[in-house]
Amino acid sequence: MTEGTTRDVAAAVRELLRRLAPGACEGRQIGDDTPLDGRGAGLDSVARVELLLECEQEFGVRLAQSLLDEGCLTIRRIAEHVQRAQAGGATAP
Amino acid sequence: MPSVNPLVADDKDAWFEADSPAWRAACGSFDRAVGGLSRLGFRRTVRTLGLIGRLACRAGLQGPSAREVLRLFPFLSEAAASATARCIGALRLQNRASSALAVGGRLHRLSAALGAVSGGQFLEAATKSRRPSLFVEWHIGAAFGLSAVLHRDRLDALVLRNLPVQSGNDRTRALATAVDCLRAGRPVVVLLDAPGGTATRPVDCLGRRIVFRRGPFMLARVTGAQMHPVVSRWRHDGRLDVAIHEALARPPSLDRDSFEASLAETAARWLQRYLLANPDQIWLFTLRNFLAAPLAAERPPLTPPIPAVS
Repeated sequence: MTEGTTRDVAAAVRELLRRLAPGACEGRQIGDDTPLDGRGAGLDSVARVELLLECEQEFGVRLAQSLLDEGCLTIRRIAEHVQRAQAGGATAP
Repeated sequence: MPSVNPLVADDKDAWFEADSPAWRAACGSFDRAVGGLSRLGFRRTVRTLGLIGRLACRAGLQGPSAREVLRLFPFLSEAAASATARCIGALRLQNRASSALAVGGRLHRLSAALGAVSGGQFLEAATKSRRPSLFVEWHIGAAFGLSAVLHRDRLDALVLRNLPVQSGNDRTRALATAVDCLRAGRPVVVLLDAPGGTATRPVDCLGRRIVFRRGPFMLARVTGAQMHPVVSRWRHDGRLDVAIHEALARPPSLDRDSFEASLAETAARWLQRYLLANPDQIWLFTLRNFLAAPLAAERPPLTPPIPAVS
């Protein structure tokens, strides 16, 4: 995937989430700002790491640990970090 | 009240919350006393604690009872079950000694008590070749054996349980750090039958349906890491033997769930084989957690692979 708007990236992240944890998306309204942990989408710690790894692979970027330092994960925050990483040229390992 | 059973799936980590303040204070005092005593000779302290643990078990002051042991290891004779129970009682106090040193930042004293270290080549190969390697510990045998080896040999490895974890985000960060380490060729030490949590994988072991943490299997899958089981045990002379075993067979490339389920079953079979051969190495609370776990759907008769404790 090439660089896109935050909205495009967020849609792609949401699709990855749907593939990775179909149960989390079923019957739940997961907005861009819904926490992905137990307070919102209900992803456990392993599933959250898997989602980040999938994003790294999908977008060809490296998501910095700072993403996890800034508080709870949301689709919007992941999308913003992906865009920032794409702009900064941080590639996936 | 959440379940405190680390081998049974739970909706949250309740490990430390389960201890009452009084118990924690008592453990703190015990650890300080052991820390002081170990200055006089750690191995002597371990031997003495082993003796006290056995006597306390015989006197019924602490568990397990022979009956509890027989419930999990029904192939043992009454006499062997009693002897095993006493060994488990000894192990409980001896492990508090190693915990006191490890948690108190005095690993050098534990390292000084190391005896035989087998399978060190796996650790050496992992650090030299930078091949992604996971070293898997369990709540059995002597505690902190591998930490003592890492300290003695000044090997650089990430011990996952040493990372501060107070929230779900911390757990995510710890796993992400582990992924980075493995990809960079730095070994990672994990506990497989670690406490509760939601990310668990059910397996059958010793006729019970228990759970392992899912994180290590995810790490093995995404990084291609080998998984080496590690167990340590106290010798009668107070020395600490550590055995690093060959890597568990990796399943062929399968989808996510099948790969993790298959590797978890392999790990459970390994643990079962070890405990059938060494029932005296199970921790008291691990024994009780097994007993509290639901029965497995299929329960083939348990037989020890080698003669049990006499």
